[in-house]
Amino acid sequence: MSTPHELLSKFLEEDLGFTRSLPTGYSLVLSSEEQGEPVELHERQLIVRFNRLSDQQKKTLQGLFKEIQEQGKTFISQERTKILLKFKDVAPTQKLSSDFLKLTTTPGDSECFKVGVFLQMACADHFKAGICTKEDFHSERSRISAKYGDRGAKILKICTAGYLDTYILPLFSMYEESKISVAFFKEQYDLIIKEEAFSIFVNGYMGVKDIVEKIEKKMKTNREYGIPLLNIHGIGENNIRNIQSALEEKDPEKNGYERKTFRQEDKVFVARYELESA
Amino acid sequence: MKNVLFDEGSKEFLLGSFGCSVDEEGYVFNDERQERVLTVDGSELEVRNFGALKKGSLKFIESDLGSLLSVVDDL
Repeated sequence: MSTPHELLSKFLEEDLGFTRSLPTGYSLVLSSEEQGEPVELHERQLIVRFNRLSDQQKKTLQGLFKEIQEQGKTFISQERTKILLKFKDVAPTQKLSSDFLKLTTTPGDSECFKVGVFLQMACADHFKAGICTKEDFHSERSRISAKYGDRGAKILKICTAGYLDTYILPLFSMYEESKISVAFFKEQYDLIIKEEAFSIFVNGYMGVKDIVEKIEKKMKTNREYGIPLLNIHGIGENNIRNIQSALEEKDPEKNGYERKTFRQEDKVFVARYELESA
Repeated sequence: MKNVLFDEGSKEFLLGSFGCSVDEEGYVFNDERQERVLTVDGSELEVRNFGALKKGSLKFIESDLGSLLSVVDDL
C-alpha cells in the first residue's frame, strides 16, 4: 500500500508534471487562490491551488484526499494551526500531566483545564504575539460555559486566577508523593471547583495580617451579596500556622459564622464556615 | 508529509472529496445519506465552523479551540 507521500508524489508527477523533490516534514496546503502556479513549493509548504486545476485534475485530487485521509492524515484549518501549535507547545506538556487529567473527577474537567491553561497563558503572553486574540479568549470562555455550565466557567477562572498553579497542582504533587490519599485529593479538588467563589487560597507570600484582611474582606462581600459560605485553604506548615493565627485574630465564629469542618491531611488544611442564619 | 492544511475558501472543495456538500443554509451535508453531518459532539456543522477532519474515520471537528484539542496531537 502506498503512503500518503507516495500517493501525492505520483499525482504531482503524472497529472501536473511537477517533479521537484519535497523536503522532509513538508505540509500540504490546499489553497483557494485563483492566481499563481497550480503547484508551488514555498519553504516547507507544498501549496496546491485547486482553482488553477482542470476539472479532471480536481477530480483526481479529491480522490487522492480521500485516500490520504483514510491512511492516517488529519486535515486541519490552516487559520487555526498557529494557535493549535502554540497550545501544543505550552499546555499539555508543561502543566497538565496525563496522570493529573486522569484523576479529574467529572467528564469535561479535562478539556476545561486544558483550555483554562491555554487562556491563562494567553493572558500572559499570547495577546502580545497576536497568536491568541481577545476574540479567541472570549469565544472559548463562552463556549466552555455553554458546554459545561457553571463548573466549566469555574475551572477557567481557577486557571486564569492562578489557583491551578498555587493550589491544585501542589495538592496533586502531594498525592503523587503519597502524602495524601486519593480520596482526600478528590474531595479537596471537588470542593475547590464547586466553592471557588467562597474561598481564600493562602499562599507563601501571605502573612497573618494579609490573611486577616482577606477574611474580613470576604466576610464583608458575603454579607453584601448574601453568600453563606467561607472556606480557607492552605498547603504547607507555614501557611497552616498562619491561617490558624489569623483565625484566632479574626474568628469567623465570633462574626456570625458556624464552623462546619476543619479538615487536615498531612500538610493540607481547609477550614469551612457557614453563616449561622443560612 | 507532516500536515495537511486547508484555507477558508477550500472547505467546499475538500468536503467534495468525502461525498459532502454545503446545503442552502450553510450546513455540511452528506450527499449519499441525504442528511446533515454531525460533529463528534452530535451537533450539525455549519461550514463556517468546520475546523478539521480527523484521520481514518469521517469525524468532523469544529473550529473552536476546545474541539480542535482532539486533533492537536496529529499536528
